[in-house]
Amino acid sequence: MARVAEEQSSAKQADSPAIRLSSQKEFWEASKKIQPDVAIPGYWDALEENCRQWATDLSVAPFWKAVKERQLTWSNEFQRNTSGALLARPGIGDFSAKRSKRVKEKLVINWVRAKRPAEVTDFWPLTGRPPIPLINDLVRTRIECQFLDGVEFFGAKLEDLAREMNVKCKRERKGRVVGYFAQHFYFTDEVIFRFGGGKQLASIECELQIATSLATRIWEESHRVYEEWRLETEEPEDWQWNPEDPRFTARQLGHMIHLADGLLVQLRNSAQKGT
Amino acid sequence: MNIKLIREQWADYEALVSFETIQRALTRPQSLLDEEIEVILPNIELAADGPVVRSLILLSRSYIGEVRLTGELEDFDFGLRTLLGNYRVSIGQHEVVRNAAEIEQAKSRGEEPPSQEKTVYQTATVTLLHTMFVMGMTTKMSYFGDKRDEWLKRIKTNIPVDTLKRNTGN
Repeated sequence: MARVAEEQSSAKQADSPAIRLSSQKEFWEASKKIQPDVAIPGYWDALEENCRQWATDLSVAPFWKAVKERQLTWSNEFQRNTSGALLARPGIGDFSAKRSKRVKEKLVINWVRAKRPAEVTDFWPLTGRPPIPLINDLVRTRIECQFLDGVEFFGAKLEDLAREMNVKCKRERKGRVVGYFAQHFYFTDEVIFRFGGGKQLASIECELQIATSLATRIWEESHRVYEEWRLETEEPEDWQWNPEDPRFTARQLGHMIHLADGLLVQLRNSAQKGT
Repeated sequence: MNIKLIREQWADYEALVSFETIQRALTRPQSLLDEEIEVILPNIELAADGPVVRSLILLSRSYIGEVRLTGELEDFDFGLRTLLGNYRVSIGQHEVVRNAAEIEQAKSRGEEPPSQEKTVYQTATVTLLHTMFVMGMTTKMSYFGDKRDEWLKRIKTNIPVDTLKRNTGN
């Protein structure tokens, strides 16, 4: 199963000086006011366990089962239209859960980027609702496409299927200055949140990252660089004019690979017309 | 062309290509033939992401034809189904490790690699060499999937090996 882009480097960065969650006391104090459960010992382990269970459940839920069933038809259609493979490998992977450590980091990152608001209602549901952080990738997976136009094709097919099955969804085409190019597809599903012997029904957003194989490889390798600046607010000019900065290489490479992915599509189409 | 009959023959392959697409692909070939298309068989190859139907083999009482499935072009040909000089069959299996990239990545990082997720495909290729008037023309039919015996049985039923004898008058 393909690992999602953000997960793989976090273990190695556990002691990174840039990531000091305890220093964000203001955020956590505000969070406890909205969701007191956050301060209860065992909450974060329980959240991680819940996420793992949701990943397992959603991997066999109707929408994902339908995606797995339709993939062969979609791959055949793409092959007929372009003479190229839709996906980089056979089959569709299952979902994986975001680890609690990364959930905490992402909450803080989002809070820092939002200029550290005193109110943290954008990050937690209102009191009384299940204490599940408002993050859209607690459960996620990655789809690797062979070609750049396969990313758009697959995203569109997912949207059509979600509409057909009345699944709430949205698609975002990401093109970041840091050289990240992918489409993110989010769909909402019902889950059960278990904590302290109780059960609550909740809705969560699940994330599918759809990108080319080349973009995935580059992103995975350069992501370690990105990790070190996770909690810093930065401007592109901090690295865009400094070839010695590791971010310079990693991020420009992301743009070059996107260009290469596009050229590859042109080449494939020229070859197809030639035959 | 008996649509109901043709649709039934396609039921096992509906997950790969919808019957509506197949029906569209058969419309023009049928309009040129003086006989009804009675049998269709998929020619399945393996792409990076799984089995792909490259073309359809079609049979009428006297003809064998191939319709290549492409996006815009309509591309097909016909020959006489009794004109056979050689009948070659190749059977095997093909194993794909779906998470090979993750395994290699983990190894390169010195991490414990995940266990292999394998898919094993049954494979078959039947190659018919059409001799007599058109030297060197071949029809190649391939299969990747898990119902190979059914596919081969349909070929054996519709294009039996004893077709070869018809060319010699035996």
